[in-house]
Amino acid sequence: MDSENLKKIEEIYHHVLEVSAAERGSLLKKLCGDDADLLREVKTLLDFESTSDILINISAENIAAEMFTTEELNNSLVDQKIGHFNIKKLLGKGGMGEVYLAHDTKLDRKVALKILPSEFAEDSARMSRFVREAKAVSALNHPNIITIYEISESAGTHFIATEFIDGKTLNEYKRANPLNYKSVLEIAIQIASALDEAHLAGIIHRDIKPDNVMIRANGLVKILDFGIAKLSGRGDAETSRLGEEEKTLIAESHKTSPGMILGTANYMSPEQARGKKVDARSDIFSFGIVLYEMLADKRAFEGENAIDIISSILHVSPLPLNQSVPGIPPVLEQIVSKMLMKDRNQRYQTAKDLLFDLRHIKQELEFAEKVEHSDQPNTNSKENLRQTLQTSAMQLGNTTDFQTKSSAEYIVNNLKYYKFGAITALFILITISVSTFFYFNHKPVLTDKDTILTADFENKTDDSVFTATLQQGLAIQLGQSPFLRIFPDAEVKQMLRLMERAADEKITPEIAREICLRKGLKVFITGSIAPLGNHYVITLQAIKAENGEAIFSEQNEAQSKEKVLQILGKTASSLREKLGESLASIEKFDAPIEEATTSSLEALKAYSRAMEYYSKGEYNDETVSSFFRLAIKLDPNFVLAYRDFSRHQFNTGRRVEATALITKAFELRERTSENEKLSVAVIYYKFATLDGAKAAETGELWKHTFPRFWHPYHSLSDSYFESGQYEKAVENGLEAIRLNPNNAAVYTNPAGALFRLNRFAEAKELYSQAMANNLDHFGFHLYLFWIGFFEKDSAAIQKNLEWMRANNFKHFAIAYESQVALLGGRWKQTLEISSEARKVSEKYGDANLVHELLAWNAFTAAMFGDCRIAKQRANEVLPIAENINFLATSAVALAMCGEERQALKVADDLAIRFPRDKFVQELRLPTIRAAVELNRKQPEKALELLKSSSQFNGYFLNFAPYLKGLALLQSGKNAEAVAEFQSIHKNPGWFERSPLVPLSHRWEARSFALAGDTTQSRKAYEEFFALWKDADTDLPILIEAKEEYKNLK
Amino acid sequence: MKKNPSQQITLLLADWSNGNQAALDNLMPLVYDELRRMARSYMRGQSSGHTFQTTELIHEAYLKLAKQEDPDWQNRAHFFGVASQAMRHILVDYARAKNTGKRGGSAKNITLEESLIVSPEHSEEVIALDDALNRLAELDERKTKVVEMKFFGGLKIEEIAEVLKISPETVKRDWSFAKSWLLRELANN
Repeated sequence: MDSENLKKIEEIYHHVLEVSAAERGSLLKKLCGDDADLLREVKTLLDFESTSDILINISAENIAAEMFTTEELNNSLVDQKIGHFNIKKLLGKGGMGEVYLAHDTKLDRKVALKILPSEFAEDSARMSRFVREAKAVSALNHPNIITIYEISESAGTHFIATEFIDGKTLNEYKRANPLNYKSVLEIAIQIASALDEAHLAGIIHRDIKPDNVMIRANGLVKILDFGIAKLSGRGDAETSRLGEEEKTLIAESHKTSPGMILGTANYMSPEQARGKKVDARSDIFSFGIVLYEMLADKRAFEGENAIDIISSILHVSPLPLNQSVPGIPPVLEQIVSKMLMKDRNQRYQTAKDLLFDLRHIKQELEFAEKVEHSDQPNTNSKENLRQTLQTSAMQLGNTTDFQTKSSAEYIVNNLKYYKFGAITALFILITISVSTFFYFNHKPVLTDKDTILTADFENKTDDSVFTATLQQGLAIQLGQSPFLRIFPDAEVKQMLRLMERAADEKITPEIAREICLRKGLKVFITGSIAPLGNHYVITLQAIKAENGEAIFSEQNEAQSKEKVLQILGKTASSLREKLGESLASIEKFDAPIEEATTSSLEALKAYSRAMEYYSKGEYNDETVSSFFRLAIKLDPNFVLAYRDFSRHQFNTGRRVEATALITKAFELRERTSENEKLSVAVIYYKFATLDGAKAAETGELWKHTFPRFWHPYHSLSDSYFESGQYEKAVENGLEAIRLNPNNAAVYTNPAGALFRLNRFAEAKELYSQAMANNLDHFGFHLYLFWIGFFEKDSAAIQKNLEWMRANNFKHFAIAYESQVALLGGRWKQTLEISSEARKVSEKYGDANLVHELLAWNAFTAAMFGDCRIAKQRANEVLPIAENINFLATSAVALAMCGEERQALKVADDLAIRFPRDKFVQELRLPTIRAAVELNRKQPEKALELLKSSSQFNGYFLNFAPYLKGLALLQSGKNAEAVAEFQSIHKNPGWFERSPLVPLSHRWEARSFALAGDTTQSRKAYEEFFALWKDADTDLPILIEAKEEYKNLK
Repeated sequence: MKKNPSQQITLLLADWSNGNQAALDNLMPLVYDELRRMARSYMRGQSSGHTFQTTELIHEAYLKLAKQEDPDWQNRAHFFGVASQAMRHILVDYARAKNTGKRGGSAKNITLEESLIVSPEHSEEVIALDDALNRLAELDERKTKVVEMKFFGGLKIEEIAEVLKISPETVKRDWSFAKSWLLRELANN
């Protein structure tokens, strides 16, 4: 086009614009005549005439403002302080906010500080999801995963402090240090190892790309931003829903911003690009792209824009590596192709498999190099090696069953065949003598009065599957013995504290010895696993603390990884014998390890991880569940995993799941050791069939078989507490404390039982003892709070509320404040505070407490005669609550307010859902039905229903005694009614958190009055009024009581 | 005596319009600093969420810089034209620098999610527009000037008419056509 042309076009353009839209078409045709080019030119220009929202309509000053504001926002934090961090400089900016270099003034170290965007922090649901995920990531402890120091908030700014990595991103590193196979593999192995660790913990990275891989000068690789990518976008469930929308968005952005670089698109997996749910295999694909790029120095999937790249990821196979990297070992190429399979089912299924292959290919290449450089080149062997590498590549290429051997195994096996001599020369040979006795006199080393300590199992292999796993396996194996008393973990932690060491410090032989000397233990056990070619050597030693000498040492060789557990079990059994346990005992209590635990190392590893989190008390953590699930998936007969997963589910209120799990464990229990079998049975009776008597009976058997083990006592204490046999709960609990004084949970039952026995002074004494041992537990403060309440000790009340607020139980603190108001009859205040408590609980993600508060409000409203609130709260909680107690409580409220049909419907549902649940059948259902009968003025029927409810006295949320009192009153049995109501206020320990105590005085007063005892009646009314001196004056129940009091003769 | 930034800017603009190319190089950092200072002075001590006000402020600062008033300046209209042209250079240069930084090795690529969720920075479009304007100048230089003054200089139709000594009606027509032409160019590239 030239200027002349332009003039002509412009002229027509303006002409056409002058007429109405309808006439434009014909005018345009008329003016252009048969000049098609002219027509097209003008027409296309006219198409843009009314376009808005495009750059040029925005104006330059706005664009300037935008550009400068963004820049200034990025730098705005430099030189400022956030908490104890001084911000030094901006390191970068990503989807999840800016990252700054900062100085931690507290610990005097450099940190990287990631500041979360405020709009993100304001979204509390997203924030809590983020914190949860970040916590899970921070629990990962792996040299190749960046360490998270802190997830916190200061003056409204949310941030994550991580280790500062003074290194280069993979791209920068690549430019500075040209890569060869060896260095690529060194990096790749570290990435795979990090992914393996994270995947095992159920954490998917989602954004593996060169920018998220940092390399230190010493070659150590660190992966950044684990799991964070998820949070910058949307949750999984939503992603799939938004898949289409995202595609549209991508298309939109393409339209308005041609040529824009969309970083992450380059490393997306096909399923990610489609907006589908991602899993570990998605990371493997992204990693495959990174690996391809490292090798080929070009992208696996290219395109001018995001759309083209994504389309290439979805449909195009990358150029074979050997075309851009001539001479690449075919096996390496095969590994990369397997990572880049479009169908994730055809990829490596786990990072572990990949890691295995990468490690072995590295070994092979090193080996090949050696052969190449050997002084007397053996051409024949070189040829063999070449062939091997080729053949195994073909085998890998043809294999469709990805659960079968990994490619590297083929290589190793083949190589062994060809060049066994050379291979052995490669390995660092460990000389061992199997079953060596250094020093062993045949006198028994230990008696049944002794306790042994186990040091941390040392993993000398580079396979992390053994870390912590064998420790767990050994503990379970030795735990089978009724003879040995293993020094409990909690005591080890306590000792570490006394020694001023971190609670999670590794128990090295040195530390183990020090603990033994301090605690007067004679012997400790050390264990290790070391590689021997592709075999493993397992060593167990018993060391005399006194002089640090091994009194017993046994080494056994495992032919393969799969045999490791079995060999460990055998080694442990002979250790038991040598330590002095009778053969009869060993024979009786020695289930092979693969039965006592599992035959799968991976399953045991997952189980160990789950237990690690579980024992940290992170009950709400999804991580615990995901590890347990993994363990069960890997070994569907893993009894202990079912058992402990069930415990976790009970603790988090998922009763249905928990019951199914423990039932499964119970069915499989014959497979496990005697000790675990008994523990499974106890839990099964306790929680699945709710047969408390059977649970206690089995617990007693357990105790007698393993009298030196603390757990049966603890469990019995729990059983007796649950069944209201508080004396026995105290007795067994005290024994559990004696055997394991450093576990906070052990104190909660006996102390709680003392509270229920109204022996407040002794309960307090026990809590002081625990706290003097540096133990703390929410349960302590819960009961101390109520003791404070019943003893009218406001300092104690405040102190314990304060503790809850300071220890992440703020929602409970508020909930209890509402209970205090409730007990005083301050109803409006109760409702206000409990609605606040609900809000805070929601923030804490504690749905259970929200439901409890709603149910509780419903019930108390019904008792106070506020049926509007009662119905409203009950209807709110019924559709959402899972917990039987809350459903039943709400149903009672509805029944008392005349909503008979609704109440009975809840009862019927519960009856069908829990046909064998004694607690439901004998307490919850009769209580609901009794409330209905009371409302129908059928007190006799109510009394009949409540006949056997006294066995549940002291149970949580048990209102049977109260309903019984009301029924007796209704049926004119005044003296019995008096006794029933007195039983309530004489046992405040049964009714903590409930207004039943003050109300029982009120009804006791009426019962006395009807029985003709005016003096006692007056006293009871006055007692009630005293308790309710600050109560809301408009409460129907109070007005009624005052009226009655006035009319007393 | 050291002159304040505003005076310096005026002087440099005068130099530049007299053919001193180096003046523009000296002018750019001054304008950047001034805009940054504006942004910073407002944002300091403010919590996040004030981006809007900050934008407004820089907006004003920009206009002030682009429409320098100087009593000593003989031809006010001419000066407007010069300032607009300078602002075009400044902004495009800044956008190019930003873009290079973004594309360069050390800085991270914007991620897919960012580009979809966060409002995009317009630096790439500014550069594309600049290229298109250069193409337009080959065909019709006056229209380029109109766009420069309207878009980069923020001048009103009447002010542009005064500078170019044409009727406001012509300015409007030039603007309308140039805009359509540029948009088509941008869309086709």
